[in-house]
Amino acid sequence: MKVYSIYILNKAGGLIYQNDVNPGLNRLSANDYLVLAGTLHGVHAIAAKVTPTINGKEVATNEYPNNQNAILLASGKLQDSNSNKSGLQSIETDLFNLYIFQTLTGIKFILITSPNPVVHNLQQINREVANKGELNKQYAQANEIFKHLYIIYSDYVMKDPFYSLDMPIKSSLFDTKVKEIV
Amino acid sequence: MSEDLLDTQTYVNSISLQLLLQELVPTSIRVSHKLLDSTSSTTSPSSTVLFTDSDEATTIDQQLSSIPKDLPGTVHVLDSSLLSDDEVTLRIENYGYNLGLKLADVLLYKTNNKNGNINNKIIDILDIMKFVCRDVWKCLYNKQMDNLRTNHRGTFVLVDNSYKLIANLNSAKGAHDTLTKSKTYLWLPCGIIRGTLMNFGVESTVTAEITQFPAVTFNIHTAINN
Amino acid sequence: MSKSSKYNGDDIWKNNVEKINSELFTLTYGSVVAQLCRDFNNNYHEVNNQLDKMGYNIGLRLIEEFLAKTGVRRCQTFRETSEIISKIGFKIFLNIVPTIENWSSDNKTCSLILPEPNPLTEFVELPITTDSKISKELWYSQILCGVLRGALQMVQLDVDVNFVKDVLRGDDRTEIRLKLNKVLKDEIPAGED
Repeated sequence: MKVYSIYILNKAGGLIYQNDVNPGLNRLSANDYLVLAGTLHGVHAIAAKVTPTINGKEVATNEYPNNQNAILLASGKLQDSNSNKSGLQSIETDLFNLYIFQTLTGIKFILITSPNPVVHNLQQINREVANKGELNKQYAQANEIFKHLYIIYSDYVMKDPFYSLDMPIKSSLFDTKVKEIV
Repeated sequence: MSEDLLDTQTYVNSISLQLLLQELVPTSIRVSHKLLDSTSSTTSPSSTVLFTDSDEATTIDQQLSSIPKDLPGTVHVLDSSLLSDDEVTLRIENYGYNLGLKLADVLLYKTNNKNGNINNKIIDILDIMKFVCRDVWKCLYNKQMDNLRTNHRGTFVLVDNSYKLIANLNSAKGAHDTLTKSKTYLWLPCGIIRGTLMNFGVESTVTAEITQFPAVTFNIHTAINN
Repeated sequence: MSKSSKYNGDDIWKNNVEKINSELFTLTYGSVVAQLCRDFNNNYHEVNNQLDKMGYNIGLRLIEEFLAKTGVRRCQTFRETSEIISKIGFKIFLNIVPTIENWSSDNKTCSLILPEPNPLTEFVELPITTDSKISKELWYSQILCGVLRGALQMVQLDVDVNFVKDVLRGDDRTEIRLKLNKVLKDEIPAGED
């Protein structure tokens, strides 16, 4: 998986950080990036409302353990910090994949990556299964990147005394650290 | 570090200190602003009591001072003209001075305990400087000072090639702004060094300059010929 | 609950935290409080308020550190929140674990009892015999209230946090009162569950 771009959105859906870490995507105008951020923010939220139901009852879409805090208290070990459960989590296309991570404070980290690898030499019947596995694998990889992104965000943005919350992040130090992750 | 010292030593997260130190400059500006406000307005008869007589809990939309746009989470307070005013820098230097004065005691006590001998080896001013470079810096920043020079007439130059307190500073307005604002932060370590020296009875003046960000040079002048 | 108390945030504290001598922290904080007392000419309410502001600003930033390095999820009850604050929050940042007691019947108010000595007050003695005002007015560790209030605000919890007792004042223990005013439901990010 190759990461093309990283975006960070504040809790109001404003784009506060954008970094094309690898070439591969067309560049948009500054305004289009803002629109893209706002749109993803909106789609993410509306997706959370579109919850599948069976016979009028909500289906649990939750694939994470919801007793994560209990696990944390019992093990004292770092847990997954992605709290995006029912919102839009990923978009998969033939040309790129997009993943969304959200913190409890409402910050969104967005990754645009290369698409799932196409599986050629498998029989038709197995393709769906194989692709599903690839998707999960890529999702796991993305989540791993998100975890590190959140940590460097807390280390290099939150602990910069000159940084105002919710404002655009202009820090060469943070840029460097982001590059090291992907 | 020996075993028994580890037993008695307690620790806290370095980030707790880092975040506390970050707030020293904004707080100094707010305090200075408030004190200056109160002295300038006592002349006007309409002035009401500026100082509160009750405790207030800070909330998210509350002005933290009468400085424009000084709201929680923002850094507008650093744009105050007071940033490099003596009123503010002396206050910051004083935090450091008092810290250095006491920290030296604690560290001396600990090193003596560790070595199991009462005679510490600090006999002249160069030893004191080495104490600053090694013990004090190590305690503060988990590293030693990178260079120590002297002209043997009471002037010392201490260099930290990557000074931790400012290494993470990064103004959205660019390198020049980062540099200007960083200078205010440097009064804290100046105070710490002056306080440490005072603990040994040595009077000094300490200034700092950013040679090549984030390298910092501390210039120490004492009246002692060494 | 009792089963888990053995571990707390131990693993994160031991392996993922850069540590410093607690004396350094104690002395730095002490130097700040002492200077504020001098600056405001012993108007201790002003001192409390400045400490609270410092803490609040710290809390707003510290919460991201906390979430990024623990993976704490939204708590279902305020009881759960208090347990996380004590066993994970205090543990990771100050290496102490306050006890939680004095729950109100509606489960919205409780007390954190700080262990003695703690890294803010160790070696500190207030001149309570010579300055009677100080024992009535100064909340030496008020910064903690600001930190908690600021951090909780960021996870959409409106909570009153204040000291009711302090050993430094001559009280029998150091007690912080927490009161959940409301969960800021409108501000909770979409998509959590």
